[in-house]
Amino acid sequence: MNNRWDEYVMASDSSTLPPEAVWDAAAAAGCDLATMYVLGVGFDPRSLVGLQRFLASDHRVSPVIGVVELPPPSQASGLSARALAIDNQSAFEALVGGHEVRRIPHEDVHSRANAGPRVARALTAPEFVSGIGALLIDISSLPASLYFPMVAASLSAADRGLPGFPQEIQVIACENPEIDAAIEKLGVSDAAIVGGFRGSLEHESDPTGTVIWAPVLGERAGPALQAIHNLLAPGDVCPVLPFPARNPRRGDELVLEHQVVLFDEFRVNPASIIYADERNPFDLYRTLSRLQDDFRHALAELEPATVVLSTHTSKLLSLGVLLAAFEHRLPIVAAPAIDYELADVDLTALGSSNALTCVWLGGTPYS
Amino acid sequence: MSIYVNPFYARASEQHQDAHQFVSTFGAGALDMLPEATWDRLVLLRSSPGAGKTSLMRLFTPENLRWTLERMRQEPVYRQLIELGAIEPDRPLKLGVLIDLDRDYRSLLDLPMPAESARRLFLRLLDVRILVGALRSALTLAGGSFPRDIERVALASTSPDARVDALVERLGGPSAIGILNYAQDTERAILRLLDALLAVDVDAIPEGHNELYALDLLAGSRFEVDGEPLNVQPLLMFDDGHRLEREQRDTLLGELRRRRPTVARWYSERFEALSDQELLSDVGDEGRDVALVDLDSIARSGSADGRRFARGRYDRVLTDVARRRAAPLLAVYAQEHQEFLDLLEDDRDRCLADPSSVLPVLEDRAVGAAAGDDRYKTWIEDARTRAGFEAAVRWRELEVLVLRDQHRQQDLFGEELTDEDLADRSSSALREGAAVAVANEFKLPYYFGASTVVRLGSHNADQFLNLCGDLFAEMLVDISLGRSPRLDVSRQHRVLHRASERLWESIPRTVPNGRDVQVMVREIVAIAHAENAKPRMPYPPGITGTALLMSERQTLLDPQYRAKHPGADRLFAALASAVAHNILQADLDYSVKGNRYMVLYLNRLLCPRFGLPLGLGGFKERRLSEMVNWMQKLPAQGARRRSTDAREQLAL
Repeated sequence: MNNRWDEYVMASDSSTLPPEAVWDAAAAAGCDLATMYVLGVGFDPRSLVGLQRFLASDHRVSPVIGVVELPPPSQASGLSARALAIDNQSAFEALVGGHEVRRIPHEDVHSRANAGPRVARALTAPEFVSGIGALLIDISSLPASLYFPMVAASLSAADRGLPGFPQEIQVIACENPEIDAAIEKLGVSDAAIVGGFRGSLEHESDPTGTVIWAPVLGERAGPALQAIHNLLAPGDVCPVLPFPARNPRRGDELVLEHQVVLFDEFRVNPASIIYADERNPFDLYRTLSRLQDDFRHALAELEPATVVLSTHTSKLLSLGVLLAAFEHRLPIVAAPAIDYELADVDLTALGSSNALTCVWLGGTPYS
Repeated sequence: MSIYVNPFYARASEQHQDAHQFVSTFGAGALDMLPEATWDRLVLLRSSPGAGKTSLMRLFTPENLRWTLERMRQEPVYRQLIELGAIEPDRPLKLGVLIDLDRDYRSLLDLPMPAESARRLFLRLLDVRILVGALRSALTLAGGSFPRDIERVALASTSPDARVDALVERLGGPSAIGILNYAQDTERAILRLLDALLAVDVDAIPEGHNELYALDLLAGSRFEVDGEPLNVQPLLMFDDGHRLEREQRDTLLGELRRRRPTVARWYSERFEALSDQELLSDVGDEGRDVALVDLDSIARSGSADGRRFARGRYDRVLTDVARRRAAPLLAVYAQEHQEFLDLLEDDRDRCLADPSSVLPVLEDRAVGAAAGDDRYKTWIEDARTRAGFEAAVRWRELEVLVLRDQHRQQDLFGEELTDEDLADRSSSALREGAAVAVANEFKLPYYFGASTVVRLGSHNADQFLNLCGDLFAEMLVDISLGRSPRLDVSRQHRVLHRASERLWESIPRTVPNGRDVQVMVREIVAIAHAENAKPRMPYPPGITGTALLMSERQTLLDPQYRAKHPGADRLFAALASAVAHNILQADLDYSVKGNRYMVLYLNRLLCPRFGLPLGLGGFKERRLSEMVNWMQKLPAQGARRRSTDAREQLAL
């Protein structure tokens, strides 16, 4: 089986290829047009790390900043999260002074699943990307319900050659496990399909057949796992654990944390557990691609089978879920937290562990 | 991973299609929670989450009715379904169609179109899903498979009304394959609109329906499979109505209330304490047009007539479900044929391991309170005849009764109080309050025994079964060591206390506005602790709730009030969330001393964590302004600002 991203370009602070190198390469491939850096500015302390690095590098053509406006944290969020959102917003305005900023305004929706497709349609609208040669999407401070549809829409628009849409597509994430650990999730939303990633789910007139669910596990994901399990009522569950990982015991710790849910409630067969490299989304992408292919072929004679994905882990690994779902039209389901709060930590000290990663998903390397 | 299956935890992984597992573990007594007249009017089921609405409806789907007829004839569920008129000895009489409203209906309101068009599109999407569900049920009832055998089914008009023929044609009929094609076209067109990520993929919006055509169509026609009529009454069961937007809910209920005796209509939704949900004026008259089934209320207090579902019966239904789930595995794993809940020891004396360290203390206090007054001589002598935990409770009770008596206007002649006086002044509530107080004071196990597990279930099937799962997991430890799976009082107390702690800890992670909900719970607990610690124990067995005047509840519903009063919005959100997620149990319109209240009791499972009694009844009302002030108190965590400025932390 050949996958679209069997060969890939990934730059990161921890590799010999830094993100700045691929930004330069994308800009050079962008036919003398500007590069657009799209981001959301929320409470996440990593919101502006990538933008700052991007603006600090040299640009032959002045870059354009695209900002996806996010709703302010609700009253039920921690005070620290609310304060950080305000501070990040003012820091953002200071950073982008003198640059062209294009905004995608926030609009309230009745259904959370519709927010992502709305933003995706706005992002790919001709007027929003006019004069842009390369599109860089920073997902560090964006929820999956928004960045999954945004990245998928950008890849679709580039693939279909929509007039004026940039061909060079890169996705940036700032990773920091300590900050991940300091962010407490409050409440859990009802499980729902991520906008644009319905696949064959919820077509009552076209039966889905057996649902195979592959959740990519992360810490404190128990309530979300239960909510999604209730929604899907899957025939089988194949949890994905991070291995290899920076902390080699992380996979074991996740099994310990979720053992009642996984083994007593969902009756997961230990042989169904899948492993993927924590630091490489393309490894997870290949693993999930193989998984869906195996199930499709194995069950073809019996009944249709649908592999459904969900992610409960880092942004970087979530990209692997996104790529597999995009290429193989797999449904993605999410039950995100409703509010957040930050533990009382020294963000300056934690900031030293920030690591930027940039994956080049469309354009020159693949042409 | 354990090699043993925990039948309570594993229910999440039971397949919806597994009729055997579902029917054999169904508590048949729950069917009596339904009114007798269920087939000719709109039945509105309402309860908190986990109370069993969906399970109740699922029993009426064709696979479960068939399984009952084929394999469960000796079981109560068979007799109950016969009595209810859902089956005959040789066939089902109802064509159950379960329609999940937790789908994409709400999304339709985000499409760029006028509200009226969105309403029409909602009705069209619902129409096709009702029809597809009915086709699937018809085939299942006839032993076929959907969609493989779809060509075996047809929908034949039985009505002289030409409109029905026109509707059949409009919806793709009369062949089932035509209806299915229409449904597929509709679903695909609408879902494509919802999922379009590129503006160029937003197609023309399909035409909607003026009303719910499927109802008229099913009322005026019948299903035929292989040319033979099915002769069953369609039963449409709409589940999770609270997932709809309010206007969609009202539209649907408006359609369902129209009398069509040939189509049975059930609708379920979650109870909401802070909405005008309870107003049925737009739906119809209760009794004639609508049967409102408040499952929470019936579970707690029995049915309105007190006969069909007697008070206390719900506990027996739960016990029956636990027995059915555990029995086969206890027999296999441990050759244990005693019932699951009977394996929970409940000898209170076993919790008093060292009476000599408890009884003298309590006796001294009670005798000290009596201060040598002969008036209490008989009472004290009576207490001295008792032993074990009973004696401890009696001494504690006596202390309270003596203090109460001293507080009252004493008899002029200070006559000695008799055993009869003691019996008059004692009560089960006071004894429960005394028992909790003793357990708390001397750190004794208190929460154990089958009846306690049922009470901790808070009349909620899901919560009860989770507790049973925790206890069964503890039994599995013994089973794996080759021991009898009996749990003594200390182990039960530990397991149940841990479950209580887990519920409390989970609130921020699982309940929207969870920190604020915890603030509310803490405030109620503070009231409870203050009141319950009073020497004369004024509200036995103890306070476990608060109350708000119904008039002030109405004030809180007013958005203008909430806008003007800081904290009111948070109180509103926290209260709604706490009730919706079963952290608080709300009783509306509770009458006391000429006032009407919304009473808010703590979920019983929170009581062990705070050392509170399990009996309901004790609450202390609070004014709205005070409750609003609760929200001004900052949550214990997440209240601290981060230590550095955003710009500063950007310096890498």
